[in-house]
Amino acid sequence: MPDGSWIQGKQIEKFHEEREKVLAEPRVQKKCDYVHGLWTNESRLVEIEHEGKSFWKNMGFTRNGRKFLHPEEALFLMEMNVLQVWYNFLPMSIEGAYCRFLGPTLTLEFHQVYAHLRRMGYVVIRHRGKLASRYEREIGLDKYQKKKERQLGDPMTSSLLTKKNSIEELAQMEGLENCVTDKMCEHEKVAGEEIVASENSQIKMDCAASIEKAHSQETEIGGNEEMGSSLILQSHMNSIKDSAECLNDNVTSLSPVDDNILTTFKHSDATNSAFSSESRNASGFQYKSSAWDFRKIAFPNFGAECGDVIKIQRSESNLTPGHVVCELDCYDFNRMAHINKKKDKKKDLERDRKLKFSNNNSRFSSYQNSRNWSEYKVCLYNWRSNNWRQDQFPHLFADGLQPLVRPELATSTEAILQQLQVIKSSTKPPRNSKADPPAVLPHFDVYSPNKKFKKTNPGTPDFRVIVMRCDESPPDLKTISDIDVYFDDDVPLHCAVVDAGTVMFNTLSFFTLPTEVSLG
Amino acid sequence: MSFDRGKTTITLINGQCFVWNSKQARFLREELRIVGTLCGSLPRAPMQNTHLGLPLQLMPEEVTLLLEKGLAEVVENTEDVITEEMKLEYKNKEKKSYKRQVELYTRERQEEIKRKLPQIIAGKKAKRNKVLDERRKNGEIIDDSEFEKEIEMTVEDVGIPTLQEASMLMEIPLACDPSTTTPVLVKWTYPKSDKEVLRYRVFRDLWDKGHYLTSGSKFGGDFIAYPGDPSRFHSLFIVVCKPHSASISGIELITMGRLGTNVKKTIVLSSVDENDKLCYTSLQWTGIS
Repeated sequence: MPDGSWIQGKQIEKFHEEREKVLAEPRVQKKCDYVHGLWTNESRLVEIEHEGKSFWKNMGFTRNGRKFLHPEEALFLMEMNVLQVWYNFLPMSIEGAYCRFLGPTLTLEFHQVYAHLRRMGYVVIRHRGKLASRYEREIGLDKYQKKKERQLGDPMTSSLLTKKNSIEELAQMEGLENCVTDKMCEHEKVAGEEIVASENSQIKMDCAASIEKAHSQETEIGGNEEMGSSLILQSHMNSIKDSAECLNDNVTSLSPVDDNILTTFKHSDATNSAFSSESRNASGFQYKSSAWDFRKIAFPNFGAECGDVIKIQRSESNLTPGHVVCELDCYDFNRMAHINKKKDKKKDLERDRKLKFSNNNSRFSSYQNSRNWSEYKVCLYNWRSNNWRQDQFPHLFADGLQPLVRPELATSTEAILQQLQVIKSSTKPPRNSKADPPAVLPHFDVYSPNKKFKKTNPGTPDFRVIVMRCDESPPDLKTISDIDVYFDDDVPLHCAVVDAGTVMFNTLSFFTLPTEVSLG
Repeated sequence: MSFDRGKTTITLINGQCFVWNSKQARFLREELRIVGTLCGSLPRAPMQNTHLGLPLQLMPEEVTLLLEKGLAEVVENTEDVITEEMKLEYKNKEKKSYKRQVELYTRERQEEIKRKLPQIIAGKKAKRNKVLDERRKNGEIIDDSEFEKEIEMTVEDVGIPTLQEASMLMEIPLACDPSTTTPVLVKWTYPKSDKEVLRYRVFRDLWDKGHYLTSGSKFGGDFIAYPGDPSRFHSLFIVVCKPHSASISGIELITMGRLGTNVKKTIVLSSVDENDKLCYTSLQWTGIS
């Protein structure tokens, strides 16, 4: 408490004195170290002469080959003593910049939140809209958007803050989205089924794609590459939980794939159209089905050949790239020369196999003849339910009161929890990738400080920010859940409330009630 | 247009009020107990949020109070039409600044050279002797006195490169240059609505009683009242303005009481009663169970 003592008064006076001194410090810099920018009232942007090394990585944008900064970026850089902005051939003061920059495209609150986050080191960009759906992210397609978006420049310049313009905003956003999806489709053509194949659940497709890849490469470089791809295939198989046991079946389950390939690719078409149909309708893009007729292509049958040396027939010339000429009619491919070149490794593998599978042979033999992955799964399930019958513990199932979890259903911790769950935890609206854009969109996408950040391809933000004044009411819960459903990426949404210069953050996030899992 | 220089100049930008002068900011806080919020970055350490710099943003209540006391004026900056003379003037100013910087730079360098002259001479001597040594080894006959010869040197003999124009110092000024902008007085209309009037009445009354008041949104109230300068003292009250006859729901009461207890402050419900007098009610969580 203040006691009016001399010493207290002195302390406070000293504080004020120092504070005044610190506040009065000028922002001085060598002329050549400044980046110079030009403010134009019409565009409400700052055009810069050359990109500053320190900030161009995560600020600004290019339009028609000219480099621009948003007003909040320019104002922040001025305060950082990096940028000198000129207007009418005169340098601008910070007060002048406040007077000119604040207006229809930039409110004070907006700038204050921006500067607050930037000062903490975050990379803050104006909200870019929905960049990729969940599925696209899962298969890594969101990394494949490039030039087109850059050419678009800045999609949000004029409509950022005015809610009235939100329709316009949405239209722009949709345009962007289409463009992105378009881009992805293009890449798909290039990257082919391989990307799609990385989805584990579609193991069939995996095999098909790898085989196709193997096939197209075999004529090109001989057997070497091919073995590599069949190794990929093996690793794909490995990556699936049950597939370790399935290595033996690998051989058998591959052989029928030839027949299944056509259906498999139809399947992949269907998946593709699932996520691109929305944009396709809008942009008129048509997905072309594969021109390859897989019924007519002779695939080498690795599964059927038992020996170490496999004969590979020369493929038809129309399947090979033009410059590749096959001289021989038949290639000998020595499997052992390419796989596991280190001898001890091979021994290890052999030993592992013995350890894992020798005892289980009786168990597997019953469905060795399953023709593909799904059949194998069915077999496995049947085997499980047959072997874990209730009569193993007859006393437990004798009465009307029975255990909640049946042994045959206890395949994983998750499955047990599923059985034990009395109340369904899902209060969240169902995921729907075609959700309409919400009425209110976030203002900023924020990224943690990251050297690899690319403003042309920023990726999924670490959080999104909605800016609001203290006397405004935040978006209602429906809007917030709409935002959550629309973006569908579990990125937290922060609400930055600004009151007379102070910025406060609140997080609005959906969550499912936690389930206790104890392992053991 | 001339203004009273004793008054604090408050610039109105986009509906918000700012003070751009460090002296005035100190005066407001030290003498008038007007705290405001610093919202720019500090030139010395710009990448942090704990200590911020000018401008000082003021709450509308603070502005109204200063205006009522006749201690400030609210202005809006209007751009002057930029004439050729102004551009020329700026160019001249820059040139003058450059010339002055060259002068200062040269003088400083000379001072430095003067201080280090003995070292410079010693260095030169060593270099010469090395060369002489080398020549002697090659068979030349050089007298020992050559080695002892002093080198005469003055400060002027040491060349000083001139300061490049590109490396002259420039400044990003904080406030507008008065020669290119004209401040115009504007009418300040706060408070307007009933809620604003109530807020201002409470603000003014508590300020008159000697409190330091800041915005209360951090703690979910209208104001926070400090007994002394906020840099040294903790606040004791969260002030919540409520119309006298407005009903408060039970849940609201609990919310406020709980909040006050949690941050160790007293909630002060303030209103204006039927007799137009301010009326304060404190709210505390009693914890009787």
